[in-house]
Amino acid sequence: MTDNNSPATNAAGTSIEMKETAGLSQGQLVRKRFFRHRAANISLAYLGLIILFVFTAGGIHLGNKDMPITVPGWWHLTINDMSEVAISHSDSGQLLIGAPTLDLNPFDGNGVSLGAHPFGQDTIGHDYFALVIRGAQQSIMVMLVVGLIGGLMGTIIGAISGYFRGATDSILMRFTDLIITIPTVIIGSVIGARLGNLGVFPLALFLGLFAWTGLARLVRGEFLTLREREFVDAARVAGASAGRIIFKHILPNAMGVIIVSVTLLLSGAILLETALSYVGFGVQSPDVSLGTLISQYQDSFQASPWLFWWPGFFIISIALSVNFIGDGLRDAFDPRQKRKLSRKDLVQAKQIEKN
Amino acid sequence: MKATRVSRALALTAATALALTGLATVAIAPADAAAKSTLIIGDGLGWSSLNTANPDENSAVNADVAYLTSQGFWYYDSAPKLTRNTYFGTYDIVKGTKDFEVKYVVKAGQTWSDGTPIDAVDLLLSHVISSSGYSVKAGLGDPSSEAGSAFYSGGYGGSYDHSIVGNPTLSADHMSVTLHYSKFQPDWEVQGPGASPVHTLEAMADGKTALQSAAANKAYKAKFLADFTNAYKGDKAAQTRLAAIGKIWTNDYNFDSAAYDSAAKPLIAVSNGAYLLKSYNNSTQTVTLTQNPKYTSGHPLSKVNPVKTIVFKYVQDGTASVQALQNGDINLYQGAPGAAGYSTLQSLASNKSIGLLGGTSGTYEHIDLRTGNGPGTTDDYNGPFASSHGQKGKDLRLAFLLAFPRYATMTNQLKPFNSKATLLNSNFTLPGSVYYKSVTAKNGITTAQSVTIGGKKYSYNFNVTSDAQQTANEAIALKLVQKYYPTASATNTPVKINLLRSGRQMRVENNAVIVQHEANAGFEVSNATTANWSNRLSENQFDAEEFAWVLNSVTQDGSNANYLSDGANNHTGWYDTALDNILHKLENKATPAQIGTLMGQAENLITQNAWTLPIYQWPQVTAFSKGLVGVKATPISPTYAWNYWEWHF
Amino acid sequence: MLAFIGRRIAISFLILFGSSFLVYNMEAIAGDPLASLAESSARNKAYLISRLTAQLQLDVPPPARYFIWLKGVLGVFVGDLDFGKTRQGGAVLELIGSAVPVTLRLVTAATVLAIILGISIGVLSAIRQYSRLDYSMTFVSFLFFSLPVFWIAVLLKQYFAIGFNDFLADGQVTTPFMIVIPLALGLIIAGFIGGERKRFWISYGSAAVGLFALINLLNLMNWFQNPGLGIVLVFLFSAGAGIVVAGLTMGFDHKIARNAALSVAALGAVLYVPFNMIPGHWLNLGLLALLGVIAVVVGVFTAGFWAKEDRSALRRIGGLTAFITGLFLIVDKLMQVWNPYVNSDAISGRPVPTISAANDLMDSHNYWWQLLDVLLHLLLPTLGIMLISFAGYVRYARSSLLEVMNMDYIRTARAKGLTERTVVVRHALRNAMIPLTTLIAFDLSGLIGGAFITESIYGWKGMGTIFLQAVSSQDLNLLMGVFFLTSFLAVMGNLLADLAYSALDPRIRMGK
Repeated sequence: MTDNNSPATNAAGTSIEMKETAGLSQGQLVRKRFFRHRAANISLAYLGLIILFVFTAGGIHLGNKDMPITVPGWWHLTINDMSEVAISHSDSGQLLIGAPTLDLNPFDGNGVSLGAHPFGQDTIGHDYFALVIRGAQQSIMVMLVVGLIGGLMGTIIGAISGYFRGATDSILMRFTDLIITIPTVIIGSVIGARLGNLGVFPLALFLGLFAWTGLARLVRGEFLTLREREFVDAARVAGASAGRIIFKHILPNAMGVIIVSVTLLLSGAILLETALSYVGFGVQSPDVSLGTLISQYQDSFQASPWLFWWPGFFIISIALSVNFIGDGLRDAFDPRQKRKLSRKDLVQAKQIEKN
Repeated sequence: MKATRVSRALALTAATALALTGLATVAIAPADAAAKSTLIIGDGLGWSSLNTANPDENSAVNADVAYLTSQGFWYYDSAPKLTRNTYFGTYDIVKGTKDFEVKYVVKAGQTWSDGTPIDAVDLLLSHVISSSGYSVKAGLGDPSSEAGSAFYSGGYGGSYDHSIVGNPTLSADHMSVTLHYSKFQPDWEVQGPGASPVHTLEAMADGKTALQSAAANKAYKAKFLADFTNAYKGDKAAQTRLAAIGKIWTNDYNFDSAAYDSAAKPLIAVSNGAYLLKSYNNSTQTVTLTQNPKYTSGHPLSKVNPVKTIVFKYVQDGTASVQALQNGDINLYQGAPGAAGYSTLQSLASNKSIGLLGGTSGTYEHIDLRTGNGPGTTDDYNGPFASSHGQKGKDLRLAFLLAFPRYATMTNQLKPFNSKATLLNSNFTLPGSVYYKSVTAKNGITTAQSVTIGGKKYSYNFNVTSDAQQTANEAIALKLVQKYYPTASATNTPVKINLLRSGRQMRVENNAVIVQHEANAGFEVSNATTANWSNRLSENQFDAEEFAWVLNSVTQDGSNANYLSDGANNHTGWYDTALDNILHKLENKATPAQIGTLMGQAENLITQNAWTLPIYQWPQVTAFSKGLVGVKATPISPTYAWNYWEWHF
Repeated sequence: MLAFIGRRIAISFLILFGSSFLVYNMEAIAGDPLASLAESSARNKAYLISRLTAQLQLDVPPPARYFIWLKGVLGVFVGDLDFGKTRQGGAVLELIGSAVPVTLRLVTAATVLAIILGISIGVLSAIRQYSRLDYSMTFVSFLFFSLPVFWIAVLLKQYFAIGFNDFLADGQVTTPFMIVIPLALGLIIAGFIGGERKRFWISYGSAAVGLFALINLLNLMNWFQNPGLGIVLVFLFSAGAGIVVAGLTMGFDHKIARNAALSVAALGAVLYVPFNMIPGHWLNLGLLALLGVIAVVVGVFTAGFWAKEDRSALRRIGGLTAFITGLFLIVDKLMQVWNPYVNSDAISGRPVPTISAANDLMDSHNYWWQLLDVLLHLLLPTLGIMLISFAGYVRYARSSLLEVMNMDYIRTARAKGLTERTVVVRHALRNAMIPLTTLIAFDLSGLIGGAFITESIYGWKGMGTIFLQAVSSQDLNLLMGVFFLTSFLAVMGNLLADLAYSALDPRIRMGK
């Protein structure tokens, strides 16, 4: 067994990488490295498919009551449609209320089919497929909005704070402390009680405005370390402006930490909304999110397990792929990161050694 | 290297197997499978006090524990019907309807759990905590003032307080008291006195913590009687002692943050119920009650495998309760677990792993329409429903109520919890009450009514049982609206209605349904769903209000405050002198048949005026472990606990 | 430095003032404390409303009411701290005082375990980057990280409580499980052993077969209903743990280290008998902790006897081995009381609970019963919190160590000829832990108030639960009390994180 970490192969690996990276821009490099990360690629494709699936199935519903912008999807039922609850019996004779009609087994003679209610119905008769699709749309929206706002605010505040230090740092960090101390539940309760059902987008906006604190502290910490490094001194001596140093020199080096945090923030956003829904302050009925579905149907685990599993499946799918994409990005952004050497590489390395 | 690793793994496995065969576990024979005697009840609120007369402490779980630990002259059965507890004593009216007197006789031979005999002196504290007159005169303070009385009691300010005359008269043998009211009390049974171990209060005021001797207890009881009498006469020393008792009564029975152990403070737990407070663990919020060996004040406990210990375990989350019940962490659960939770309970019940009672609570939803401003303010309401518009206002109110989706609301929100759920058809009584049948027969909600529009007679019925019927009602409603707005239709909704609803989840879900159905009759409903709805009930910007009334007792004039022209709960300016007359009759003595008739007449007038409609009772399910026998629910406090004597494993 | 800390503390109080003012007013307008009374049909409603209004001072506008509240809090400077009263009339401070220990009990074990497990797995993942183990750990940690805590709680309760209790009814592992469990556990064991494909399959195979035999044996012995380790297994387990500890610290071929660890384990086995003779009702947590400390001291000295060089390292091994041996002794003792505990009336054969922090076991003053009871109640919530929070530590530890492993000084250390173990344990790990301190300090400060969903699901009356109650019942004093404590801890946690960061990383200049 050859140890991947032995100095010889390390050197060989490095030389391969050097050869590969010669003459590439940072962007090309990152892209190249990212597309070599198999799990990240699969996740990216998977997430893309989920997004495509839920938005084509459920259609797009924007705007408000007076000015709706609606593009219908290919699934004919909406979250407001109700029909008679289908009652059936399982093979073991157990009573099933609103059982799913999705049939993925191609060998049972019926082939693969969706049926009237692929994910079943809830106890009132709503089509659960429509609910889950809509919920996934809303959760993806919450995730993106929170991630975007939180990520931007966190990075900028952390970067400025860590780079300039002194009074700027103190003020920004104490402001961060102030925001950290205000519990999300309070924000949720105030929004819920005072502003009523604003819809998903404003809720996500508010959450984003309070979600950046952890990231800001991490970025600041990273900047505090990096700004003391030689290459920053070099840039400073060369007369680079603060903005240039921050964005061109330090930020790319801090990108690993930022990416990991932002992906955690993204998947955290879905969970935050879920937690708020659990205490009753998340997305408000009649609209749904994966969070409200999960908290509303969590106790149907025994009677109608499909109501329990489907939203969970989507939450896990989305959060998992976001995290894997983040993992891939982190590896891709890290200029010092080495990659796994395939057998082919090792053969090449041996040849290089021989030469 | 491979070989060594494999052989090492094998060797380890072999050594483990060897060691296991040589295991020296201490085998202990399983304890005899004695019948279970501990009942664990899931409690979603967190028990906090033995004293439910303290207005901050009247939660449902406190009431349950209080009921299990102390007994009085009556209780509500599952109907719910007020039932006398003859084990404790008897009571009856001794004089007239005008000058009204009731005599309460304590049955001899009962004792408190410390052995002290129970007599009528123990009934006197009820007067102290309910009569403002006594409180003022005995130097305890004016309950309605900023400082309040030394007894922080929720008993002041009610009918008892307003009409009691003087102090209760104690009989010579100390076994009965007579209450003297200035006028007939429709609620006379409910507002009767309860028993309190006054000797322990005196002992605690004396700085004692341990149980006292029989002689000392007797002396303390005599002392209380003396204090009760002398404080009223102005004796300063007696007043000070009574105020000290008030402080103890107000504070020492509350345990929200302090642990309790009856071994350390036995005086607190002295009572006459079937069970006694044993301990309270404040970190787990667990209350433990144990059987009272001296219990004679109520129905004797079941002979076979009675419940000897009752534990209230805190579990706030609905899903957690369902799983805890399934796991045996709790044996009894009552609440509204949500549609999904209910279907899980149903499936558990269908394979016989638990028992399940679907049911309703004493809280009911209703829709009120404003006709004017509440009493005490100048009437400047000019909305579509205003009584100042005469017939137009009334027609529009009728139209709104006809289109109001009672049926859809019920099927959407109640059927999932309770497949047998029905619409509530009375504002005064609940199903199960002796009056419900006669009231609903006459109140115009369940029977066909008619309305004449443009010379044509249209028949309708509020008791909608199908979508088609609802559609028919909506068509009539639209015709009524078209009388005044000829172009009105489902797409042209000229009548703007501002509806106030609380932010409760169940109501929010129903917003769209209401808007849609009311639109069919030409109404455009805008929902003002707010958290601070309760202090906006009187604001006249709201044409309609949907919220719930909580019924804690079923009495003949219990609804008067809602519908009297000057009623305290009449937020929407209803005014009808004919109705007032009927309601005032309900305040006088009447037979059940007369009461049913009067209520029916009153409700009929209300329906004719198109002021309000009841919608449904809130769902409440009771589920219990399969081993537990005898659980029956009732909508009114103490709900499932009412028949504890029938419980057994 | 002192001036800096002083200034930061002063500013912290300003922050607390600002945020408490904001929260007080936000919450005051968010709800209606009189709502429950409005629905009441009580005759004396007017009186009740006036009482509550007077009690909660609702006639004072919220901004002014805040200062009444603040005045009570500022009483701390004159020795008269007053957080006001709850709506139930109890003192807020008292209620918080009883809730804090509950929360601490809930989160301490979970957090410590999550940190230890998360960092170990993260480090292992980083060392074996892009291995089977790395991929599966990445997947597993991401998976748990993506789960809502109450969703996972439903599953934990269903399978680990209800399912396990059902299983205990006859205590026999059924055939499907007898096949599935070895296959699954074997995979995990083989994953950790690692190696090439062939070696992987061999270790997988032998682990699965061994486990299968073990389960069969335990079935035969009815062990699940009547568990125990006995003196032999206690010794074997402690000896095994000792060897691992010695190996990780000084290398697996270090004979003296191994012998030192084994001697401590043997001493533990000798003490098995007297330890088992201590009556259960004598013990309490303090005494048990004292015994633990004594054990560690004895272990330190016993191991010290073996030392020729590296005395301190050997002592560490001795202490740690003694600690682990003590744990096995306790586990064995708990297994001994398992059967009578399970069959008591309060438990009725269903030992794993889904709710509450403990049973009131009035009929027993045996400390082992109580300990077992508390541990069983901790099982599910701890698992739940741990599974979810360890993911973050895995990710950060892995990425942090990977970063450090690419540094020049690690290359130098390798070039010097140090073993990989020394490079990782002595050089890389320490520096890799620096960024993690921020994360840990930050997490710890949020623990007290952050477990509200977990507390609520498992019916624990901790800070989170009373906070939610306060929000839903509009109990402003209570809410502010909880808020004040949690935000105070958060602010102080941030301060500590900053200080720790600058203390650990000399490149960061503090102050100015």
